[in-house]
Amino acid sequence: MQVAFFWLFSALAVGCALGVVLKKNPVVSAVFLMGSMFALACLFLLLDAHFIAVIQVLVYAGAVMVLFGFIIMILNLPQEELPPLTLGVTRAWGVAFGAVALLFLAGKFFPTKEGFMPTPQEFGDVRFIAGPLFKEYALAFELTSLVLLVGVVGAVLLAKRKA
Amino acid sequence: MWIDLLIVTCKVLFMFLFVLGIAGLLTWVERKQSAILQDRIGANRASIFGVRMIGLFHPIADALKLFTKEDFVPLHGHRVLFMLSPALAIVPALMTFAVIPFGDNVHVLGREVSLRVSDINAGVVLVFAISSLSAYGITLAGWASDNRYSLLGALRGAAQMFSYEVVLGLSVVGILLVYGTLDLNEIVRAQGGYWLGFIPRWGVFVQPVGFLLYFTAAFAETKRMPFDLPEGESEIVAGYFTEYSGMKYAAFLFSEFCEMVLVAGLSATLFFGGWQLPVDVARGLAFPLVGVVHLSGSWVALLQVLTFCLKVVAFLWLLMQIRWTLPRFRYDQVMALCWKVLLPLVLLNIAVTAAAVLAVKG
Amino acid sequence: MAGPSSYMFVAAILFLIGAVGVVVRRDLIVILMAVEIMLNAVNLQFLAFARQLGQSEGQVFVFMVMVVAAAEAAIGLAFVLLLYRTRKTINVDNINLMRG
Repeated sequence: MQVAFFWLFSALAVGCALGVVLKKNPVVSAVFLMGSMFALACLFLLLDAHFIAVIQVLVYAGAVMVLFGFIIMILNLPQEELPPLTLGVTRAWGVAFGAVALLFLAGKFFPTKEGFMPTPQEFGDVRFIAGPLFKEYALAFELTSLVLLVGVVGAVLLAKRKA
Repeated sequence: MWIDLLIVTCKVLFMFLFVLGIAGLLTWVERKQSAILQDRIGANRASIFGVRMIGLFHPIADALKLFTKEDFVPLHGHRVLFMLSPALAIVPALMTFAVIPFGDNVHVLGREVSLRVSDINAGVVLVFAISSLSAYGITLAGWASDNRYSLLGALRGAAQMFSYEVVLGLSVVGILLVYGTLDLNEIVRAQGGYWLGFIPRWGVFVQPVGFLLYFTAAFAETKRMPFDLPEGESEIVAGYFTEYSGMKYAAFLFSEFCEMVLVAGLSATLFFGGWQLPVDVARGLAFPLVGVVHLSGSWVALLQVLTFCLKVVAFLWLLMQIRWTLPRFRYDQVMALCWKVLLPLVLLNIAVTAAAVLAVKG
Repeated sequence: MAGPSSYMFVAAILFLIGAVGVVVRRDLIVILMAVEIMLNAVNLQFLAFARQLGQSEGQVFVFMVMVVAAAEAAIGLAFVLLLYRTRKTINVDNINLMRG
């Protein structure tokens, strides 16, 4: 059961990721990316990381992707102004590198039958993450809020500037 | 094994029928209540063999009409996304009910069953995560229609839902601070009992500002008057669903009503004690002249479910009343209200609540 | 039972798709999306290892990565908007002001 779900969602995530890269229209890419994020959230659920899965949907699918969609629609580029999908020499090298790396990885990381070690009961619980987040990593946590603040101010500043 | 499956199926079915049934009924309530407010009679023509039932057949007639309408797809839009977006609008609206508890845990067939579909422990976050997905339905619908009005509506909708989501999420933080859990059932359980013997320990008395902020933001999320800028029929035809007809249009309409039920259910759960009865049933129901009537477990459970439904209906009435009372905002007013009024207030609410919780609990 | 190696396999493929996407595409917005795919692949890896070791650190890291990714997306898209206003294009091949 779990294995079937794992391969189902993995196939979905990989297929959608391919769709993002291969589709010319950015709106379609964005929809595919949302599908990929959602499939990944399901994989996170299979890993018993409930809280992270929910946050994944909330942050990525709910916020980041809507932002992408919003910007694409504000620009609303006509079909002929979209950058083409044709492959130059440099880019062909990129694809070749990707193919070689894929072969290498397939040999190196090919899935084995072994399962996970037994995990603590409270693994997916919110408290399990909250503890270290507010104790050992309190400084990093506070710094991320600074990152977000800089992000907000920077985005407003950049977007409001008259070209 | 199969008993568990049966129980889950029953819960899902009940949830579905409850939400869709109320949403269907709301189409009738909307017409009737607006009629009463405006001193009209309202829809009462649909009849079966001359029986009119104060217009109660109108939802059925509407459904038949929408089913048989031409299913129009714009030529130059994006066909697949055009078909997909009504589904993207209605699915999140229905999915969110999975974590809302209908009653306390009951004992059925020798096992303890919680009266909600999913027992995930980050319930509150899940609700906001899933409901944030409904923004896709509008934005994609508007974009795929290839119509200027639709695109305007979609942009308005995306910006509005995006902004109010921030306030919506933060307005609940106060409640989470007070009760110290993300589990909706535990939040409801913490709201049982009384202060001074007669005031129920509802969240609204601990977090009055939080409730008002939540209600405003949630109302804006449903995109209904006075926040119906994405539709704004006097400005941009019908906004994001201008090009939709037939059942696809009905899907958008239904998702709006489902979101209303969701807002009502969440308000009741988070701030008004959910399935907690306003009277103490542990010692039996006390009637003034009859005396005390002792109740068994299943009767209490049934009363709890009824209480929850009643609270939902009360909130739906309030939502309808507001919708037919207030005129529409201007677009800049909606945005200013969110970022310049509600957001500072909600942050202040969190700070004050956190300080109070720290002072009380140490 | 799908074990850590299966998750590593999927994460590696996802990361590669993202990396190739960044190299191959010219649409700035899609490049940003491909970066998001790479970040997500790393998140999957983190969680698989966290599950294997039964520790919370992996989940905390994923949390941090998500925050940074959100900030990155906001700034990146603001750049795209500004770039489109000044240069009227989002094709990275045409953005060569720095090339003498």
